Amino acid sequence: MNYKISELSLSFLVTVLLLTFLEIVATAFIPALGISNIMLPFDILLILFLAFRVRTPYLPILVMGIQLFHSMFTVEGWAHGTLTGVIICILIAFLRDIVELTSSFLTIVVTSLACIAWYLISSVFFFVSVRDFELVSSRFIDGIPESLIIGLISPIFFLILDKIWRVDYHRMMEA
Amino acid sequence: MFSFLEKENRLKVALHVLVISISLVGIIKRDRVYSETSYFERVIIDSLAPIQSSIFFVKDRTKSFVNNYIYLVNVKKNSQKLQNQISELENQIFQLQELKKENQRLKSLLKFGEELSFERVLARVIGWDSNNSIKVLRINRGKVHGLKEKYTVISAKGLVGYVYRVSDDFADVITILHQDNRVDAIVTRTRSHGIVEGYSNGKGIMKYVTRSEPIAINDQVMTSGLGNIYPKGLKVGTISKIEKESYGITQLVEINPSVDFRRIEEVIVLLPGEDQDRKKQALVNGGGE
Repeated sequence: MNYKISELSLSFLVTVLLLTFLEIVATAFIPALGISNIMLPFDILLILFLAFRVRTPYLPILVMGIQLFHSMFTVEGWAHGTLTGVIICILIAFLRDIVELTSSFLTIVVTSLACIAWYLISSVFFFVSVRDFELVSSRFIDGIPESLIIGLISPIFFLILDKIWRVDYHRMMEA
Repeated sequence: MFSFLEKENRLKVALHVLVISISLVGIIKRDRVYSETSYFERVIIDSLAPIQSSIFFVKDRTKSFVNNYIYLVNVKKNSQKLQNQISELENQIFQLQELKKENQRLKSLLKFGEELSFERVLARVIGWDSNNSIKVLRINRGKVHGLKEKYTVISAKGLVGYVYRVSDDFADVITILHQDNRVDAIVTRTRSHGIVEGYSNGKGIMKYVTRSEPIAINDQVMTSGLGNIYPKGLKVGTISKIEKESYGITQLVEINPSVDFRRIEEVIVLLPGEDQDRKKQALVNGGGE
């Protein structure tokens, strides 16, 4: 689907509101329940959705926008996530025509793998700055359970986001 | 050369290159020690942090409700009046117990480091960083309460970290579990000097401790006062592991932080006095008073 700028802006605004809600759930609600070991990376989930389902040349700008809002909830900043996000989007653009997310099971598996790939790329950048393999590998391993959870919840979020972005995935694949 | 590319593809490539370039510049220019907040960031953080804070308020109320009422539902009562009185008294006792616990916590918190010549601002933890690998707390005090970047944050048990980013009413505290937070520290028994950095699994490592230093497991580690952020004498943790490799001039020292970051609820931010600010400023400017 070719988006007009106005359509893109509206869908993006709703996505940012959803991200804000999810970030509050992740940073306050889940820790308030006593679960502080797992912090679900909803920004990654939203960017993976955009990478798989939204076909627009403005994708890198959308990734940067999501990361800018995400940076309100993390001191990591926006730049690192944007770079990783854009690289993941490029990789997914190559795979998108081969891998069809036609079932929930496939969506779970592919999203989990894409999320793990995100952590892998992010760890490579992290290694460049800290040069400590043990620290980087521990950070990567910590991301695996979160990737699996993100994969498990992805079919529901993809359904919601399909509505927000007015994506008809099956028609898109036929085209 | 690019004639085969359609207009849309050219735009796509250009935007990818542009965003990647901006990100790289952002990564290079990012200050790892502290972050000055823009007006936009301050507005967003100040609007959203109250929602995070309210979640903890609701949690406390729900806990209080569960403890006071739901557990009492199945208790047989002799009379409605008595039951009301019991409920009321139970409620009061619970509240008093909670107050007592809170008082004890706050008392020890305020007493901790009272020999330090700092003003202290009590703050409540209202959220965590959304990136699990980044150990950062969000607290409900900000610029209007006198907080600034790089102010030290402590709890009753020891050093928590320092203020990394501050908005009008809220601040993000980068804890000593984060690898970018480097604490100049000494082992209290041997006075061995080193730098404590955050590591994995809630532990820290003390770097640059020479092999000849006679340190031992369970030795206490405290801040040395060097490094321009932390005052001297704050408890950092205890040594939990020492590894001496067959090569190199230093030893690997693992630190168990004295603060339990999973259970942290309140913290204290140390505000340097005006005199100290002036002194620091004078030193920075190369002068003296």
